Amino acid sequence: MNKQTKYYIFFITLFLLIIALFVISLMYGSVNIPFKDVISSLFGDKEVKKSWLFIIQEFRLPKGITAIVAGAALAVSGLLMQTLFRNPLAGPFVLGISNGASLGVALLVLSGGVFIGVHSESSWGIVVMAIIGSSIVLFMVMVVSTRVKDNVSLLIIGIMIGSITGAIVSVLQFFSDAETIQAYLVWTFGSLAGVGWDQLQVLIPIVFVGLFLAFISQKELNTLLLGDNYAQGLGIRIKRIRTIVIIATCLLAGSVTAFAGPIAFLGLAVPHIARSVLKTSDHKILIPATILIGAVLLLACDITAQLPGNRNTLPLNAVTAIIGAPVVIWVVIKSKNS
Amino acid sequence: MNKKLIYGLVLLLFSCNKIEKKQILSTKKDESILVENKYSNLFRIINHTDYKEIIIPNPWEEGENFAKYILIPKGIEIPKNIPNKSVIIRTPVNRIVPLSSPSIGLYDKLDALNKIVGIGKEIYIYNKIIIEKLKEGTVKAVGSDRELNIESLVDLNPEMVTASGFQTRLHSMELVSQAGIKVIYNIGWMEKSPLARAEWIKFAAVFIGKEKEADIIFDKIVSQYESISKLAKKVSYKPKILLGKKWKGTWNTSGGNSYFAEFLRDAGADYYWFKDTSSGSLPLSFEEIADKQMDTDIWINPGRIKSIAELLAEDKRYLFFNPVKTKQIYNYYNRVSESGANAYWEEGYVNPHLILFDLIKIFHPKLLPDYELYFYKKLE
Repeated sequence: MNKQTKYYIFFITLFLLIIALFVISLMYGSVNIPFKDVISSLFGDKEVKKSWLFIIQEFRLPKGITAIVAGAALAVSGLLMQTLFRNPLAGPFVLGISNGASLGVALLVLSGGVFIGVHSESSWGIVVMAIIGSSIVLFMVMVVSTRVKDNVSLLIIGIMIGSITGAIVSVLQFFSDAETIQAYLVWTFGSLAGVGWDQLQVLIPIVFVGLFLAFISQKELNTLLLGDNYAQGLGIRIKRIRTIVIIATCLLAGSVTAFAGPIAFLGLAVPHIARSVLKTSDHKILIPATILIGAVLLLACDITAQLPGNRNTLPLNAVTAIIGAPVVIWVVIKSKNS
Repeated sequence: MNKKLIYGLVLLLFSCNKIEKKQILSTKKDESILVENKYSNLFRIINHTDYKEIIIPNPWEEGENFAKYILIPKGIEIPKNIPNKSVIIRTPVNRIVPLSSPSIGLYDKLDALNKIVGIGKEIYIYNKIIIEKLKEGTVKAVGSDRELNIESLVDLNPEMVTASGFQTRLHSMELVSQAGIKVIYNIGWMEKSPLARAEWIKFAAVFIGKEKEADIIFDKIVSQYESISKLAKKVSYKPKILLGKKWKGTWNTSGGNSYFAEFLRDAGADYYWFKDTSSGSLPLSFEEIADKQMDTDIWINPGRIKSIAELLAEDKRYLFFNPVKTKQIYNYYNRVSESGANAYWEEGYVNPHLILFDLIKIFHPKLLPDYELYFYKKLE
């Protein structure tokens, strides 16, 4: 079997898996709804119990779509960062994007809305503050990136900016009461449940732009892996590609963080799974592969977080790490041995 | 010989604590009488010949005591038979720093605001008299929780500081105790019924020597509470109630045995989770609430929401819930100061009858035609 066929089989399998998991995520939740009612709810059958119609159409459907979009976005942004920094420990949040978003959200939620003059738990308020926060951090990183030549310095600076914003969040927490700290902490646990159709209308286009930027940079990303000097020798303008990659990452990771909270780990783990399974570092293959694997993983994590049959849900961030970490360990060990 | 006598006394005290009903114990030297509580079993007052003793059993660990206070009138020598490590308070106390909002409500109800010399955080104070005194400078803010300024607190030279018991875990409260300031924990918020919470007025009263007044006030609260509750329970129509609000994926509602569920029962409401047995808050998924409670009649206590617009800003999907369609949403934001302090947290604790009146007015308006909502407000 040649490589090309292997990739096709891999992609088709993952695609089918996404469909299967999507259907499962529609079927299972804390409320038991028979399969035939799930189907008739999807088609807006008025005979179905009103609350079931609501749960399927307004809750599970947007949540399932969010899982696919967010999983894909986080995975690709992780891949972009790992390639840009040629560092396997990089993830979507190394540039401090999630810290910036967290600071924005903390300013809104922990101030009880007084600071901004918006209701502190307004969903759009949170999205706007998260985007402002991550954009400010992005802007700082961009300014710095024009001044430093090497990527390692950029990485260190990103981490330092992250530390500063983290410290400001700590100070804000110190001066807040238990209830608002709780609200803020719950946001940091990550959740897809807050994303409805309204939010998806904004999230999907942003993620598409981010993914599009990643797709058109495939060739440059491949050459970046050879080292900056080598890439420059091949006629790649390092600064330009660096800027594109940073913008793409910010759109992808920033928008998902704004809507679903800082979902950790996925962005770090998925590129490793893709590289180990497919044994390639060609971004032409890796980008679609990470999109598919990311979607599969986040769907699976969200289904697990729902704890079928239970009345409550688990924090998504805990589930992504608990499921994700063993998968990465297994894949890495397996690929090193074979 | 002396040691044996002390052991014997301690044992007798212990056996006495375990008995709820009034009991008289006598030894050669000391006589102790347990003051009978009507609703609360989270504090016990024992009157000894020369002093009073308050025991707070630990609600989190059965068989243990959370705290023990010995109250000895000023001017009387400290009796020798006081167990070691007891927190000794000389009564009547004249300089109090209440760090939690409900304590301010308690001392206001006892007409003893003049004994308050300091408070926690200014922004949480609703009481107009205290706000006035803060302006005058006769009452000082010392901060609370992690922001507690121990130096300012010591400087006020309080005879006692009251805390909610959340603060026990905080190092700062230990420091306060080490500085020689008596810290009294009021854990009435752990009570499972509104009247048991209000009964803590008796606890607050012992320290300032106002037990008799407290008894009269409490009996009045009970009679007002129970007479209206009787009427409400008789009404055959019981509106279905939705409680709380979701935050991200989780909807926190009150457990079937909780303090607030008790209010709903007493106010003649129908609440889906009455059959649930948990006594705290009940975290549920959005799906679960949507499935069971989308068609409720009235929605109360939707978190910190103050208007329907705020509610929909959080999640447009609330539009599918019946009370949003019919605009039957109420929250306890009727009396809120500019800084955001809420009378509900200050006064509600010791005025459960007012909360009940409000709820009955909302659920069964015909029962209280002339009454105007006190804590609650309809969301617009």
